[in-house]
Amino acid sequence: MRTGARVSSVTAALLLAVGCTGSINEPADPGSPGTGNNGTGNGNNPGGPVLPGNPGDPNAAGPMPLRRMTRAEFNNTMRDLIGDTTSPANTFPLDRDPEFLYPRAGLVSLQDADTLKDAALAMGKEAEAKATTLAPCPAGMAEDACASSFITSFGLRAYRRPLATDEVTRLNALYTTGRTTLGLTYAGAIGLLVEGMLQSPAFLYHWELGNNAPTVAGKVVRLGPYELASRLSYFIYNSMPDQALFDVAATGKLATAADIEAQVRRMMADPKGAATVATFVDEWLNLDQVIDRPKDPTVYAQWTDALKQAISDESHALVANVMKGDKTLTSLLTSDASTVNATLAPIYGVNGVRGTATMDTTLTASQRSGLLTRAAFLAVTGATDGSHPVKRGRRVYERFMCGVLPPPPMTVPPVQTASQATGKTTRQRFEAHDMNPCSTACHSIMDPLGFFFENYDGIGQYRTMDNGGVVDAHSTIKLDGADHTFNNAIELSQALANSTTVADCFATQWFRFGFKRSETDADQASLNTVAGTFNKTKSIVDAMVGVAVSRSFSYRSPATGEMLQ
Amino acid sequence: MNTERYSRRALLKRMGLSAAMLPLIHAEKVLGAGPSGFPKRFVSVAHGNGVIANSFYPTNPGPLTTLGATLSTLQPFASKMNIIYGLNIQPVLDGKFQYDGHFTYCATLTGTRQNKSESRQATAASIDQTISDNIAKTVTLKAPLLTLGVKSVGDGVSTSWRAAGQQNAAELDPTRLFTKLFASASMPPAQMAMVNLRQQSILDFSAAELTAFGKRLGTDDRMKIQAHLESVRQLETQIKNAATMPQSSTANCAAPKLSGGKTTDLLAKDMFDMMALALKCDMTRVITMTMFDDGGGDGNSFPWIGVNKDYHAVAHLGASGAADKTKIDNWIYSNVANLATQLDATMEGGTTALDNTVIATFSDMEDGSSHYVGRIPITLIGSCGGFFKTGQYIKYPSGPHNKLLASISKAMGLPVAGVGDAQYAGELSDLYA
Repeated sequence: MRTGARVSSVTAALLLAVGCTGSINEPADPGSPGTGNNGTGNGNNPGGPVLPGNPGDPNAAGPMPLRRMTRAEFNNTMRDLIGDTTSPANTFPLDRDPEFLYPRAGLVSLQDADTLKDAALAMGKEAEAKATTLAPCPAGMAEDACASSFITSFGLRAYRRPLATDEVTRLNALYTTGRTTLGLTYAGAIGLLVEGMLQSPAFLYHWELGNNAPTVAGKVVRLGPYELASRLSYFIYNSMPDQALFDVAATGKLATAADIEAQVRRMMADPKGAATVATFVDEWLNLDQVIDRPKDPTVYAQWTDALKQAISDESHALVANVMKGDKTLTSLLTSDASTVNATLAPIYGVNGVRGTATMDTTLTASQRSGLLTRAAFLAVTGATDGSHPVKRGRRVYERFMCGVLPPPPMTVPPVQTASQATGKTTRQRFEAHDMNPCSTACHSIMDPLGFFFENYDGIGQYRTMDNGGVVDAHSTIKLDGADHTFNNAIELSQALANSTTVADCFATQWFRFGFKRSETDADQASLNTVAGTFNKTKSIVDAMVGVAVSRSFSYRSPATGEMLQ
Repeated sequence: MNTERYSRRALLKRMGLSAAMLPLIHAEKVLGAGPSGFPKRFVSVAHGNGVIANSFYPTNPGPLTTLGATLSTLQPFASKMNIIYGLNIQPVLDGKFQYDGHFTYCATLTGTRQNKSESRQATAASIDQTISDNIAKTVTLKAPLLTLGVKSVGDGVSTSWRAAGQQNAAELDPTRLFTKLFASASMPPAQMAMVNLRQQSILDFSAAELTAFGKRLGTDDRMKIQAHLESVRQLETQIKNAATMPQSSTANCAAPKLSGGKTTDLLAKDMFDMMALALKCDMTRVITMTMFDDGGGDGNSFPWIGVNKDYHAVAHLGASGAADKTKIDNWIYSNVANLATQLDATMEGGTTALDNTVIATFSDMEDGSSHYVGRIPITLIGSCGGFFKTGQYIKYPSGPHNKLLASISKAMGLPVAGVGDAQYAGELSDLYA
């Protein structure tokens, strides 16, 4: 493993901590530079650490491994392509890549092919029903001619680029099979075409070059306008390009960094752009897991599907609120604005919410700050029956500070349960566990970070007493190379918002989210662009602009074995 | 393609003829068939987080009598099963990743793992794949291999691998599985033929597009397209075969009533019921069930048996969590018992469907507080048509579980020199009848 220069203050502790993640021995955070990230063909990092601020070759660019649409991308694309609202990709195998934090589709197995086939069939049927609007054929025009026109125009939108001649030929042949062998009507054959296109690699994979030769520029390849438009769209919209993007791709107005920045800012004013920030936050901190998180009903009887949904909604509302305001990471970590319904209100101690409506409110400033003090983060990182300092600390360490914890080689004695340690607070139980010689080193990073959250129980309710004892949320951590003592998670959140380590890590997370891969040596200059653009304002939109205008977004290194001419 | 689904002897038996009257035929040589002439089947079931040893293993090696608390629901099958101690996930152990227990599902049925900390990549096909491929050479089945799971909360890794780096994603939805296995049964033949023709046209188109696509792509990327194309071809073959297969009409094959529930206990019940049915009526002969994906299983709790902590957290508690962990494991194995019970109630000649089956159960580690990848808990239920001796608790001093995989492969009609790396070659012939 490697640890970076910028996190050297914790290097010694990390080395001591090797293998001692104890009772939260789960996989180390995927996608971290030190974890030997990225399996076959997804862009390895053979060199030294890639951290914002290190010098980088401005002409280099990272790889662009062939990537298949995720479930979310497929669903959103169906919405934008044919107006579907059924989310057909929900039947696909989950996009879990154990080697990467953000969702990434795996190789197509039989189960994938089977579910893809069924989704394509369903979408074909939907297109058939909408044929008069999707593929209008005016009276007097031959249906075959209408179909040909549909293949060209719809095909461009589905494949995110103009179709090649041989593709048009094969689609026309499929249409003919539909009309003859299968005896379909015009509308039926349109549906068949859509069904076919959706199972074509040109639709399913992000590779808008087709079989054309790439444009080589020195040692790298420059993306074409349609490739860039699609890349931008799946980054900002999590979906296919809109008409404005297709237009700038067609007219060569997506050529400069200023062109790209203008598009990002335009797209971020669209609800689809704002929704992507919520998606990023969900995936970055695994907040989407709150919907499936079980809790012990004997401890948290109120843990219902309705509450889980309200917690998830509130988390999204917080992000939306920040994006309507100053759009900064600082606000995300410190805002006390909230949107609650009657189910969620008691968790935050908010009174006066009735019926089914939601209410915008301001939470008690001494109890709540931004994202880290909200129920979504606290419930996902809590135990089923209480808080969990290690999990919470680890999540902050890995996701906010981009720290790397190695896997454990040793058995660590378990933490006592609450019933075994009557009268001891959660913190006291975990501290007793840490007196074990191995654990002392192991948990010196995670636990102090986690203790800040002791004012919140397993579902995020504020508390001052725990298991009969008074809660102590005061703790000392290393941040930006110095020791800092804070009283609680609110003070921690403020410090994280001002930390250079966190700012750099946040930029790195956006890089990974935007490229759907980990950073490589060749991305050093691009990562600097992201961090530099973000650091000027701490605006989330600027982090996104930084990704989009970075060298690795418009250029890529050629793949091994790729035919360049 | 040979579409003979049962040996002649079995068919004659079904028609009420005495086996003694049979002329000397080579029916027994029908691939994968047991001595009764009925097909042999292989089911693997994997679960995470190990077991509590003193609830799982008997005190002494030898004949199985009273089973421990973890396996109590399998008590009726004590004489038809084995419990095995001492085998290791050797490649992971030898790679010095001895506490990588959460990351061994890729090795469970392949006997391989990329030599890297926390790797989830197999470097070869799993035996469920190779055995089912071999059967498919001579027997047409609705689904040569069913890769199934109950709930995915972790890393999404299953125990079934088509090839190095290519895992078979599991079907997690019993209702979808039901539709896949039974949808065509109710459709008029002419309509079915048209549906199939359409599917063939579309998949042919998809295959042609994949073949034409990305000729300039780099090596790794071409491999992704190749894997995709292979899956489309596999799907085409299955659809083609399903169209030409006679519909099974025996009483065994009536569509089951699913609970349709979405909680883990009901999902498991429905899945195991579907498994029993698919095996009994010969829709498949090989099933891989991965109870939960690997990586620890946080996000699973077990309220229907009164265990409300996270699966992973309970496993970590060691002795203080032993009672809860045993309850969880007892529930997991009760699903296996449900399958065994249904198969054992299905008479096949003088034997039962269970006798013609081997259900192999594995965990990803020894126990949940150590994560050790040696001494993984294993049971074999059913003799696979009399191939395995049963009724024993067998204690090995040590050894690669690869040899057990090779023995299962042989039992299922695919003799191999070994499974996984050559250094782990060989079989466990002491298990044979």
